[in-house]
Amino acid sequence: MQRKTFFLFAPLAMLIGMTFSCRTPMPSQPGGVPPGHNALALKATAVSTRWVTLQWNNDSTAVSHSYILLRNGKDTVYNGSVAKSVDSMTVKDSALTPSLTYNYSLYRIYQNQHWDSAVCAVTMLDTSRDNYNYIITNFPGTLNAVWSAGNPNSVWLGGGHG
Amino acid sequence: MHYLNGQFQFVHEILGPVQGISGTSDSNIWFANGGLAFWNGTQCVDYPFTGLDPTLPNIYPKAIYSVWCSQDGQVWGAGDSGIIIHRSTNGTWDVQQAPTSMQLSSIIGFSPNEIYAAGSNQNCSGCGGVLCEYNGAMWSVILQSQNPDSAMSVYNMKVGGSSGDSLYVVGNGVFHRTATGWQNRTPKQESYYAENVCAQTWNNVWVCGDYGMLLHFDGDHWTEVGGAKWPYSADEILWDVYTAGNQVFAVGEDLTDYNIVFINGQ
Repeated sequence: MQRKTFFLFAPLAMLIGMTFSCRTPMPSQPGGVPPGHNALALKATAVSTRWVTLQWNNDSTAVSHSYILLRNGKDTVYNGSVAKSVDSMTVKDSALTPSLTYNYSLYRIYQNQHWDSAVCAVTMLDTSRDNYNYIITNFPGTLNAVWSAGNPNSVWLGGGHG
Repeated sequence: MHYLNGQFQFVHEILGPVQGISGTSDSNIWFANGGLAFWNGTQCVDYPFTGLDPTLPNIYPKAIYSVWCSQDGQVWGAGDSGIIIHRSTNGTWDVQQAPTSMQLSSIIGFSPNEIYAAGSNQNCSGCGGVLCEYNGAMWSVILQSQNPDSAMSVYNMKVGGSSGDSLYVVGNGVFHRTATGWQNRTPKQESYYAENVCAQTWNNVWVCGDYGMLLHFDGDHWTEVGGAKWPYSADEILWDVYTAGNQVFAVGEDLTDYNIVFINGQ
């Protein structure tokens, strides 16, 4: 059934595609670029409270190896070229604010236009909140050791009497 | 004591102060209390190594201060004069010896073939520290700090970390061992002795210590979350710190009223 459906609609889809490509060529994707390149992908490889490392693939078959990386659509994090021999590029963005979410946009630049792009949203870790319970109990003695199997609702404490 | 769902519960009283805890689950926990004690989820079994029980090794007058157990059921306890007590998977006990005369008060392992124990000279404060490694066959000294003026000087030494390639020793400083060697990570906020360290990952490291000191390293910066920020800080010592999930727990004592101190945060 699926194969029949494909044959039924494939000519129609090709016709529609040809019609769109003739009528509205994408201004950001100039023609004449070689086919077979990998789509640009952007990901965060490490996240801290104040910095993030972002990585993207540098497809060696791509026509361009120049990139612009923007934070929140306005702040330039990276603007430059990457050698063809480099498989992937990693950039560190620092001086960020804990717990905030940042939207990164990566553009592959060709003839002053972007050929393709990728986006990535990253939320900074938040371990800096001043959110601590400080308890001096009325239990006499000392606690010398604390351990848990990983469950914060089940924590073992050891010590001695005062 | 068990901190269960936000409530303190006294579980069992054992002889000798508990100095160290290790386990694999809530029903498989070992306590170092001079000897060792085991909690199986319903009851506690004491293992004194004082000669009272002829089936156990006699290490008297030495004592055990820290413990680490592996997933396969082995247990290592470290104590006075470099002594190591070991329980094999079949439940038999044997005595190992690290090549040091110092008191080993901290032990951590990542596998039965990679265990680290740290200690210091209890008779001479500031006289140095030692870090020993067990490779599955023997103990060896991998760091000996005798000279307080040397660049790599750690005394009152405790050990922690998330792997052998990301190992921390703390005391009068914070030092981090990576694949390329030791690096001084002592934060400027560390004004007092560090008493312990817990590293969940390379970018989530906690250090506790004297005067309520509690420091967090996020992989980039140290943040002081304790010390002067506590309502009372001058007379508290935080002896141990541990992370579970996204929360941190630190424990110690208040030297004014001699009551126990408990900190929980995230």
